[in-house]
Amino acid sequence: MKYTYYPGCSLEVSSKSYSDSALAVSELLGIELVELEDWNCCGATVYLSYEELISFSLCARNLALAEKYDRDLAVPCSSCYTSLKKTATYIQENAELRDKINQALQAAGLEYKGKVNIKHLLEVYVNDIGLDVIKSKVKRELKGLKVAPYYGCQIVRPLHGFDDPESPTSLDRLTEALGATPIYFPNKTSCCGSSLIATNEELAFRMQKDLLLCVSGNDAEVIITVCPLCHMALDAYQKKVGKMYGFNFKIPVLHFTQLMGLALEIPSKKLGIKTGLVPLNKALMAYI
Amino acid sequence: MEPKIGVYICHCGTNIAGKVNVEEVAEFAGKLPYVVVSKAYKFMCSDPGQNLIVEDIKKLKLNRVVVAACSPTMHEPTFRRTCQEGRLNQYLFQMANIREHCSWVTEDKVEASEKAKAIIAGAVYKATYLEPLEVKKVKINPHTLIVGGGITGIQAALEIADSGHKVYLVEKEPSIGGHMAQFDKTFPTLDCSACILTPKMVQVAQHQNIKLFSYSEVLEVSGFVGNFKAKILKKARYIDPDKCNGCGECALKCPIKVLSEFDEKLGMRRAIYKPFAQGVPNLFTIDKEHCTKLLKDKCGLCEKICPRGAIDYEQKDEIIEVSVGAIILATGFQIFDARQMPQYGYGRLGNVITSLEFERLCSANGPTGGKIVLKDGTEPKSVGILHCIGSRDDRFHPYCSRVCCMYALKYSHLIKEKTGAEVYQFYVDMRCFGKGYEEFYNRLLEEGVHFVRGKAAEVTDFAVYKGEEGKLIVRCEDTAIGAIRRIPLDMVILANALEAKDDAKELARIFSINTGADGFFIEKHPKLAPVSTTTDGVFIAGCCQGCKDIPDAVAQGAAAASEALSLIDRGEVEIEPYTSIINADLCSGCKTCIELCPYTAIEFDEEKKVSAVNDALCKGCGTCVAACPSGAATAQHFTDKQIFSEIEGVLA
Amino acid sequence: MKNNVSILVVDDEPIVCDSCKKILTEKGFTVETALNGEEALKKFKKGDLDIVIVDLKMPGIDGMEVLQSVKKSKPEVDVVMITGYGTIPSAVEAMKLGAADYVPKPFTPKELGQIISQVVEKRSKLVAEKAPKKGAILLDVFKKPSKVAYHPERVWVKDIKIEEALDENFLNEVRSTPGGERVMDCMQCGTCSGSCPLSYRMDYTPREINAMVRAGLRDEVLSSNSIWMCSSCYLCTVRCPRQIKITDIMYALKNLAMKDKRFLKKAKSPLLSKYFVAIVNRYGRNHELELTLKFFLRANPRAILKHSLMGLRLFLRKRFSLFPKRIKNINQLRTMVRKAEALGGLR
Repeated sequence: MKYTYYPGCSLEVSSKSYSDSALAVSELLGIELVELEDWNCCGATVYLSYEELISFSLCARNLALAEKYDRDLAVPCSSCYTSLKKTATYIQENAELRDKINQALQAAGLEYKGKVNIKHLLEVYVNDIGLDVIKSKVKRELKGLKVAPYYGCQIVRPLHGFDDPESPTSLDRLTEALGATPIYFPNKTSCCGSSLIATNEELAFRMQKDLLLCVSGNDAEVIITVCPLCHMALDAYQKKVGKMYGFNFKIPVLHFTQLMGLALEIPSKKLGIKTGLVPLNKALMAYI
Repeated sequence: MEPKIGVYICHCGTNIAGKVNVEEVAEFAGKLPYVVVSKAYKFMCSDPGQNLIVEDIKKLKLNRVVVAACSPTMHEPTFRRTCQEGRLNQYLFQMANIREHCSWVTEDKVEASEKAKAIIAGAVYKATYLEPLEVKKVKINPHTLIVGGGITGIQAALEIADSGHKVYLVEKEPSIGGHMAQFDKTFPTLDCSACILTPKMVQVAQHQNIKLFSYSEVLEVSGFVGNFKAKILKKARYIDPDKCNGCGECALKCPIKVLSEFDEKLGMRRAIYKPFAQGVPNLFTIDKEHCTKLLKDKCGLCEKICPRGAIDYEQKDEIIEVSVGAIILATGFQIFDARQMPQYGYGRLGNVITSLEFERLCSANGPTGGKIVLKDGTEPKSVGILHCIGSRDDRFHPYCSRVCCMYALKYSHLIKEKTGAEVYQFYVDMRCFGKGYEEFYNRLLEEGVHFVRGKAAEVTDFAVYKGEEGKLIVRCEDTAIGAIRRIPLDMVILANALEAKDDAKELARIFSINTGADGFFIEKHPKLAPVSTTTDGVFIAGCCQGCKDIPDAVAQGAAAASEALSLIDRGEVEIEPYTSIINADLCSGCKTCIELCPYTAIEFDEEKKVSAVNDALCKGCGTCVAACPSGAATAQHFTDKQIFSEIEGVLA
Repeated sequence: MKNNVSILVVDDEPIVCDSCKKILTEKGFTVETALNGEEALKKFKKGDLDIVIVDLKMPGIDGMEVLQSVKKSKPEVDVVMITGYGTIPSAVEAMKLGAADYVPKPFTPKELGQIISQVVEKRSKLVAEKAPKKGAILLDVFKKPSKVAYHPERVWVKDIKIEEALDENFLNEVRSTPGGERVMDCMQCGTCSGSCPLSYRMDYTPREINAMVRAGLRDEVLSSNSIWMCSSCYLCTVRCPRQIKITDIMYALKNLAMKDKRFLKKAKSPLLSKYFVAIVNRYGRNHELELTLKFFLRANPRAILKHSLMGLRLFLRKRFSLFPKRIKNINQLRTMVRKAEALGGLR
């Protein structure tokens, strides 16, 4: 299977290990991810706050570029995924917006007809490839590893339809397929607060504290994420958050593709397992 | 005979005259072909207005009458009677609706007048080709079929039976009583639900005019007003009803335990069971889904135990046909499955329960003997009641379920009385509209219930703050105090929406009625015909028509009974002659119409090899007219000629 | 420390008069008060005043009339307007008529002190051109966003909402944006605010914002911190029983506030957006280092030190790049952005 691949800005640098592991895992699963030529930033929440039309147009440029190929667009970042998907949906639904975006695209010699199918990488693995196939490729079952499958907000909201916005299960099921044990924790779709880290650290940290508290309270040995921003919030700031609230959090955070890679016996160096700021624990070291 | 048409334009006070220049329109109508008189008058439906028509019919020898006024639903019958008074066949009357279709919905006065002219011209052109028709009369069968043995159906059955008419009461479950039998107390008077319901159930069982079919369903209905035939499936209970005296020895010995539906799966019943001790009829039933004797031919204990030899494993389902003149549907409601809203934790968090589960917990004949307890058997110290779960919600049910505010108040009182726990209500708007309801609300305010104005956002077991450990935490915005709150509770009761039953659509099909966007059966008119349906002789009552409380359901049950009795006592029924007729000379016998007729009103005459319409069954829908390849079928009062002429008039 | 500047404070709320008198007396000014326009003009004729601080909205002779009479008879006297929520447009009007400055309610003693000091400073310099500096105060505040929404010493006077101060068109502005269509359907149940992970810290909860949009409280909504607190997690949107896309409404409001810079005083988010937009327009992609540096230099320079250690740790793990990556066809992107800009956005 062949997909057009939209890594997004975070995966280029700060979450390169997410991209590396995604590419390695995909290859093993027989998926070819072809990076979208000359893609641009999706605008994220930040550009959208500034001016919606331009922000939608930025996404539309990517969609226009992707439309040249008859392939689905695979997106590993939840924020990019929501931006692109929202743009595509609103272009369909809102005639005035469609008209203005088309004018902007035309000025740049582009056109978007509305045909690109946007999928999150998790959706590609769980729905397109299927858990049975993944299970059959697992070489080293992650028996007994207690995993907190953290979805965050934007992969399931607003109503993308590939999983329930309140109580999604795809990542839990994927975890099970790898032989690991997904733990129950009630705020698996709570917001990580990453969009507020720069502007309102105190509030963002409070959200991360609640998440980490809930995860550790339910005995998770590792958190897996489906979004580079969630990963950054929970990994890079974990120590600071703990310090601020008087907890000694030490829960490694992996991109879900890294965990998959471990089960598929991809060398940990290739997966960038050790690029996280939270040191790996015993439970994880057993698989490295 | 040359048509002589009289046109009468109603001012309807300012309703029409405020937008339509009635004098100008009257002048216009006077110039239309065959119109001999055209007048405008303040209120055509008043006595002087009607007299105007009667006198003109006599004086000017009018043979067609057109009234341009309101909707025909409103006054067509009035003016038809007026025509009859003037000795003119009532089907030579044509109504033009220039109120709902014109003056009420048109902004501009000139446009409104022009539109009125077009509508009237259409009516006049159609009237030119109207033909006199005769009303048909059919005898009415005096029996009534009532479907649903909840409080509504019971009320209706007793009303009719007491008047001396026979009733067939069909109930799906092994016992009548419906949801009311599950309740502990009723609001706002707090009288015991069972104490007021059980005597009525017994009356039903004993009434000589009521034939009760419990554990039965209606499979099929045919016929028309006054002359329905219904096929009833009597499911096998594997018990001889003449021998069983309800002693219950069998259930004591039955080794198979099943979650009790009546107890909302909070308690157990056996595979041979009576849903509850006071159930009517006083008969046991073997559940064939679980009985090992019926499933695997093992056990057979009940047969050995039964002192009266009432067990009959060989019993078969029976189909019984009854003839009735009227039908009342009182099939009730079901409650919304709160699993569809995972944020409230139902199904995941043990002490989050539904309203009906709470009723069973609270009821003296319930699984806990009326003790309000948590899953671990202890009493709750704090309870939250979450309003509007699935109601007033565009994703599920946009309507208000109308009973939840009140039962939430009732629960609060019962919880406080029985456990002394703190009670929190999370409400959007308190709707206490009935007699004595506001007073009840006031009483609960005084009893110290915490009223938090704001819909609960979520229920979680993730404790963050002191005092939350091991509790269910409700997070919400308390809009009255303007703060976000987290309230730790022991028990959470969800006020689930009432909704139409899953089989409502199927029932609607069987009885040829309709369901609305909300899934409930639609009444003929929301205000003036609340228990009638568009199918004559079929009435609806209780929660199958929409959410309502016990007083309203009972009132509707009685209302439907009264409608049915008024129909039966007429002795015979007039049928509108808007039926199709098939011209035997033109019919080629292709049978296309027979296939398509939704009312199975067309039969094939094997001798003459042509189709013929049974006008007692025909509803005049016109499907056959449109489908007939040889143009043999005509819809009376809506002939092609009349309709084309009407169109011509509108466009003229 | 007594100085020789005398001030008259005019407000129909005695509590405002008293607070101002207390604050300004402490700073050494001679302060008189008046509770209405008539009294104010009498005192003004009698005394030798330097500055008049007057509430814009008062029964009888209002602040605008007081301003006009003062400027007519003694143009050298400076007038500072006190304005409530929803009266900022009138404040601007007052500046055109010669007011020296204005203080938006609620204000802290510090804010009042600052504004009066500036006026005094200007007087002492006896600058020849007396042109008022329109809107300058708000821009200053934007440079240094105030951190706290709540201040214990804040002079908070609740007032009647007057119909004339409402903006009828506000609702239409919001309704016409994608996602804003259903704002009228809100039944004020509070599910959005109860679900929002941040509403507890907002000036107005999302539910209140909805109600305020419908009521036309444009200035209050756009100057509130609520819109900048939204973390865009969409929980409100998926839970709303009326299916109102609240997150989208928040974006629409952010856009409106961005366009009208006077509302950007409380939040750092607009600043972050501004730099982000500039970087994306320049390279076509984000460059995390540049964004972080620029933002913190402006918003909170001390934080750079705090963050530098983490930056280093990320850098060691090759998770921080020193140089931006520019997309090949950047000109195409810029043309598109310019065109979208020229289209005037969505409104």
